Amino acid sequence: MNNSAHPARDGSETALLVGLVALGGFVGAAARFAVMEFVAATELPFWLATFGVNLAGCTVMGVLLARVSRLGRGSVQMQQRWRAFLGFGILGAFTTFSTFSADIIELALTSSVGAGAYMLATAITCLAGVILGERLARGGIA
Amino acid sequence: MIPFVLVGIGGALGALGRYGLARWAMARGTPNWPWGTFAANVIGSFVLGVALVLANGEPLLFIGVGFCGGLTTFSSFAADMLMLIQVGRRPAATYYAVGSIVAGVLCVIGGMAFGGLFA
Repeated sequence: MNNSAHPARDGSETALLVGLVALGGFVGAAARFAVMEFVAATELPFWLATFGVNLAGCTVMGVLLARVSRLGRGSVQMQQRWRAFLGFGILGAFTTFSTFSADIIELALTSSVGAGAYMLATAITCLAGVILGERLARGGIA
Repeated sequence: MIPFVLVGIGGALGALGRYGLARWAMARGTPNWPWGTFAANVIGSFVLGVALVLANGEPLLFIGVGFCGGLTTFSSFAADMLMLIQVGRRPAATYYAVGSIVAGVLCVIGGMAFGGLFA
C-alpha cells in the first residue's frame, strides 16, 4: 500500500490530517448546536435548525469544491489539508443526516404529508445549494 | 459552556469516524456508490435511534448531537450526488439519494426498537 520513499513523513502528514478533521469536527458540531439552541429559544419550528444548517453547509460545500484547487495553490498536499479541515471537519460535522432522519420520524407522528414535504424540500434544496455554490464560486452564473 | 464542549468532543470523534470510513472507501475504490458517506450516515442514524431511547440530558448531547451529528453528514451526501451527476451517472445519483434517505429513516426506527429492548 505504501509506495512512498518517505513513510515517516506520510505518517506525520496523516496525523496532521486526522488532527485537522478532529478540530474541524469540534467547531462544526458546536456551531450546529449553537444554531439548534438559537432556534429552540424562538417560536420557529424545530426542524428549521437542521434544515438551515444542512442547506447552508451544502452551499458552502459547493463553494469549497470549486475553490479547493485554488485554496491549495496547486499542491495536492495543501488541497488534502483544506478538504480535511473544511470538508470533512467543519462542514461534515456542521451538517447532519442522523437528525434529519430523526426529524422526519418526529414530523411523521403528526403529519405524514409534512414529513414527506420536509424530506423532499431538504433533499432538493441541498442539492440545489451545492450546485449553486459550486457555480457561483466558479463564476459560472450568467 | 460545558454542553458546547460535550457536543464539540462528540462531533470531533464522529468526524474522525467518518473520515476513517471515507479513506477506507477511497482505498477500495467504488465510484458508483459513495460507501464511506453512506456507511457513516446509516451507522450514525442507527446509533441516534438507540440514544434517543436510552439517553437524555448530557449523554444525549454528547452521543446524539455531538457524535451522531459529527459522524453523519449532509454536505458530503450532496457533494456525492453532484459528483455522480457530473460524471453522467444520474440513475446512480437517484438511487444513492433515495437509498440513503430510506436507509437513514429505517436505521433511526431500528435503533429506537433495538434501544427499546434495553429500556
